[in-house]
Amino acid sequence: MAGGTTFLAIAYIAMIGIIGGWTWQMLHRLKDLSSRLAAAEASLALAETDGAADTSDSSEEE
Amino acid sequence: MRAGFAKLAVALSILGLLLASITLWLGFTYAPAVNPDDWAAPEAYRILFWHVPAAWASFLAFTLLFIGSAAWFLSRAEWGWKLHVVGAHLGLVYGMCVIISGPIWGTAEWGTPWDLTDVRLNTYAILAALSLFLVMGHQTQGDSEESRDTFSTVGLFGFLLVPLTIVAIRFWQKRHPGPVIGGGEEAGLAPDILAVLLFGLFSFQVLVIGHAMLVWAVNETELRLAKVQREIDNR
Repeated sequence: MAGGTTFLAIAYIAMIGIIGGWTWQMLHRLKDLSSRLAAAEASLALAETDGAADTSDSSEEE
Repeated sequence: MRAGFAKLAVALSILGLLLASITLWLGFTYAPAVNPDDWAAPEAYRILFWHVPAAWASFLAFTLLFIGSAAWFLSRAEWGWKLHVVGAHLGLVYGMCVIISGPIWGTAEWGTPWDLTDVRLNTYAILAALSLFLVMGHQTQGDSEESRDTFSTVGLFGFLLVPLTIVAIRFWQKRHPGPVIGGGEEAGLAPDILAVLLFGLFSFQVLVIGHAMLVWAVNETELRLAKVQREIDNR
C-alpha cells in the first residue's frame, strides 16, 4: 500500500487542480466575455453614429 | 464601476490563491510532524491544512446559496437568483476539494475511504451532491420562474444540512475526527499547527470571497453582452 506521503501528494495535486483549474477557467471566461462586450458596445456605438449621420443627411436634402 | 468590480474580483482571487499557497508552504515547512505512535499515516495529516479551510469555504458558499435562494423565493429579487448561482458554483468547487481529499486521507489513516455509518461524511456528501445537481440543473434547464423556484427550494433545503454537518462530529462522532477548534481539551492542536490552520482558514475565506465576486462579474458581463446583442439585432 502507498505511504502517507503519496496520499498527501495525490490529495494536494487534486485540490490544486480543482481550485487552480476552475479559477483559470473563470478568469479566461471573464476576459473573453469582456472583449466580446467591448466589441459589441463599439459596434452599437458605431451603428448609433451612422444612424445619426443618416438622419442629418436626409434632413439636409429636404 | 463594472470594470472596477471585475478588477477587484480578479485581484482578490489572485490574493486568495497566493495566501492559500503560503498556507501550503507553511503546512509543509513550519508545522511540526505529529506523533507517529498516535496515527497510522502521520505524514498524511498535513492534508488538513487545505481540507478544513476548503470545508469552511464551502459552508460560506452554502450560506450564500441559502440567502440567494431565500431572496428569490420570498421576494423574486434578481440579485437573490444571482447569489444562488454563485453559491451553487462555489459549493461545488470547494465541496469537490473536501470530498476528494477526505477519502484520500481516510484511505491512508483508516484503511478505507468512506464509512457509510458516519453522519458527518454522509451529510457532507449530500451537500456536495446537491450543489452538483444545482450547477448541472442551471446548465441544462431553461431559465424560467418555475425552474428558479425549484432550484431555490433545493437550495433552501440544502442549507439545513450545514448546521447538521457542523454538529455531527460533536454528537455522533464515529470515524471523522472531532472538531479541531472549540472541541475541548482533547481536541487541542499543537500551537504551531493551529496557527497554520487559522492562517489557512483566513486564506480560503479571502479566496472564496474573490471567487464569489468573480462568478458574479462573469454573470453580469454575460447579461450585459446579451442585452447589447439584442439592441444590435433590433436595429
